[in-house]
Amino acid sequence: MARIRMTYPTAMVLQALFAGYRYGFDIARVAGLRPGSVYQILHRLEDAGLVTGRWEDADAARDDGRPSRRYYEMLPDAAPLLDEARGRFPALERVPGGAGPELA
Amino acid sequence: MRRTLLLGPVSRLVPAGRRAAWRREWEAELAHVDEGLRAVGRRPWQRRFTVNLHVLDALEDAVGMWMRNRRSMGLARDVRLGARALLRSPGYLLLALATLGLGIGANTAVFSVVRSVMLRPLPYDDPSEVVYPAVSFRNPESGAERRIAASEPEFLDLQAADVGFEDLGNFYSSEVNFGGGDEPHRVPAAYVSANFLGVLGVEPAQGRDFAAGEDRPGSPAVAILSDGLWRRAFGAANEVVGRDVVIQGRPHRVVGVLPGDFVFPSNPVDVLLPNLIDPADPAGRSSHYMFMIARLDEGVTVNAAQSRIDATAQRWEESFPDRHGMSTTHPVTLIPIREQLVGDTGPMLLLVLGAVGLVLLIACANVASLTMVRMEGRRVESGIRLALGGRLGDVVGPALAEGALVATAGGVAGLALAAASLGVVERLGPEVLARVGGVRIDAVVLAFTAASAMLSTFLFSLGPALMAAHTDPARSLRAGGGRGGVGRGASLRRVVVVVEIALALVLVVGSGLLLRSFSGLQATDPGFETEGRVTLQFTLSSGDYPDITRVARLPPRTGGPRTAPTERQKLRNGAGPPLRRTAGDGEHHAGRSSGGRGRHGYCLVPDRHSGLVRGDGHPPRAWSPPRGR
Repeated sequence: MARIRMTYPTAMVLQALFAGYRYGFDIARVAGLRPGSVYQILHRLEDAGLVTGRWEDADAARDDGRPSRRYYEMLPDAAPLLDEARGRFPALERVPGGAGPELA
Repeated sequence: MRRTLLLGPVSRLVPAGRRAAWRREWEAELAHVDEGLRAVGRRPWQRRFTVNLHVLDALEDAVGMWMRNRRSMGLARDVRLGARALLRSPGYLLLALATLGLGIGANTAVFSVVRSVMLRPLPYDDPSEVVYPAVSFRNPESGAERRIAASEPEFLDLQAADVGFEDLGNFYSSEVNFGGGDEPHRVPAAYVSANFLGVLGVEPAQGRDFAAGEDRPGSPAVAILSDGLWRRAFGAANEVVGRDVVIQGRPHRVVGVLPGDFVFPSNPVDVLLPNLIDPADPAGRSSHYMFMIARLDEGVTVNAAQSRIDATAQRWEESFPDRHGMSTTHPVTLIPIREQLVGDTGPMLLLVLGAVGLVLLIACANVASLTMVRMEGRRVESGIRLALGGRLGDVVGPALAEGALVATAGGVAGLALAAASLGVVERLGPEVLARVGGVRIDAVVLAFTAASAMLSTFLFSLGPALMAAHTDPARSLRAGGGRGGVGRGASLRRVVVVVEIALALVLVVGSGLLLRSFSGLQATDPGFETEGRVTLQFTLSSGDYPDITRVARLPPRTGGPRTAPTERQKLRNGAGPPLRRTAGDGEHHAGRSSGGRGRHGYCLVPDRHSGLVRGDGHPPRAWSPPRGR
């Protein structure tokens, strides 16, 4: 597993994943980050083995008339890092808990 | 769904292997954005504009991936080039490997010992509360003070006094005959108070601790075995608790087995036996044979307990002014258990760690000199790279990668060297180095080795690498690798040589001082002649030898059988100079009916009837023959 530097934006992304937000733009919205930064962080976290991405079921997406999206989930290895980050960055509580609403 | 045409060109920045997935992901996200805007009634041009703005986010992501890929590709290329260059110079590789291997190996070995002795947590419950009340003997004439063991009355006094101890136990180390027959095994043992494990906060892994009262004369003979002895002697059988084993010729009931990670506060032991003390009839106040261990009351500091214990020690002085035939004081000093275990070896170990650190620096300086010579020879290569538009990183990168490869190989060699040397260190035993029994290479030591290797990389290769990078391309190519950039390289070499000599000087002076101290210790006059003196030590079970007069003569030292007889056979068959039992713990213990403490040590000089006597927990004593001989 590659090492990851736990910056504040990285911790925000992890916190958003923990709260149930699974798409890049949703995470960017609740975390207040630029989507480009969020995707960079997601790709770094995925390379580090801390999050995993999976493609949405193609049939379900087709029924909705849109392309399949990539869903991200936090892996167990990220939990202690997030715990540590919460201690360092109390402002992480800005990210609301619970499942993230779809982008309206 | 509107698609943007900009995503295609942007995706060219993404590494080819990940490009398709990246583009698919971003198309889906942008489509989602578009759908969201449509749902809130945005006009088509507004949606197109917003989606194209979001391509900037895709660009940011793509640039990030491109940079990470470039970094990793660049590193792989540098490592490849460095490995090729090293294989072309096997002489340099072997020399550097051996030099760094020795330096890193010495540091790893010493750090392993430092970690084991000084840094490893003690396997006791809240060890900061555990202290050694150390009794000292202060000679009123000379003022000299030295640590001695405690006597039973002193232990009982402190146990009864309110000095801030939650509990106070005692112990002393010994060896016992384990098992029956003519050839019982000798195993290290300790006689302890019934609350000893409780003071340390350790519970047996099997069975139970000694019960209160089992350290009183007349109680049933019980024993607790170490995990090691349980495995060696009983094959880790589950039913060992409750079995009887023969110790010192007497059956003892095994009541428990210690945890595998248990560490006895002094030397490793295989058997714990109760130290039988009769509070109503303790041994003499001058019979110092055991050590004490205490757990402080919650919230009581060492200093607070010390001030209270000083008052108790003062009362001893007033009540028993003539214990040793002279006016003496017995101050008691509370020593935290870690400090007691490490003792004087801590500063010495740190000194040795510093010394081997200097050795590593010298090794790095040597390899740096070699590397500079190599870089001199590769000036043309560096010049060509720079002339073709190469950047600083293109010259420094491969050189650093080459250094990292050498240092990594040196680290591996050093690790092997350290692993091989730890066996030798472990054989020193806890008498020489406390807690040396647990010395091993673990994850922390591996991290230390890796850090040493990394530091070495920068120390020996950064300078030469930068020297190569600051080559003037035209000058290097004109000189053909001969004298290009002589000035800068020569200056750096001179600096390295000066540093190397300075370090070596510090090391030599330090080593000289250490040798002088060691030589001074060796030359200390012990107060008796050591030339031609030998020592021997034997232990007789008080169960088999209740009458000390049976221990009368030893066999002659010469002309004996080739196979050494057992001590018992020698005593039964031999004839030799008569022995006189010594005063001290042998005499003190021999009369006890509890068994297990019939240990008598004699040191003989065959041609002269004088020598040394050693008993458990006692410093060597002069022995002299009976009067008239």
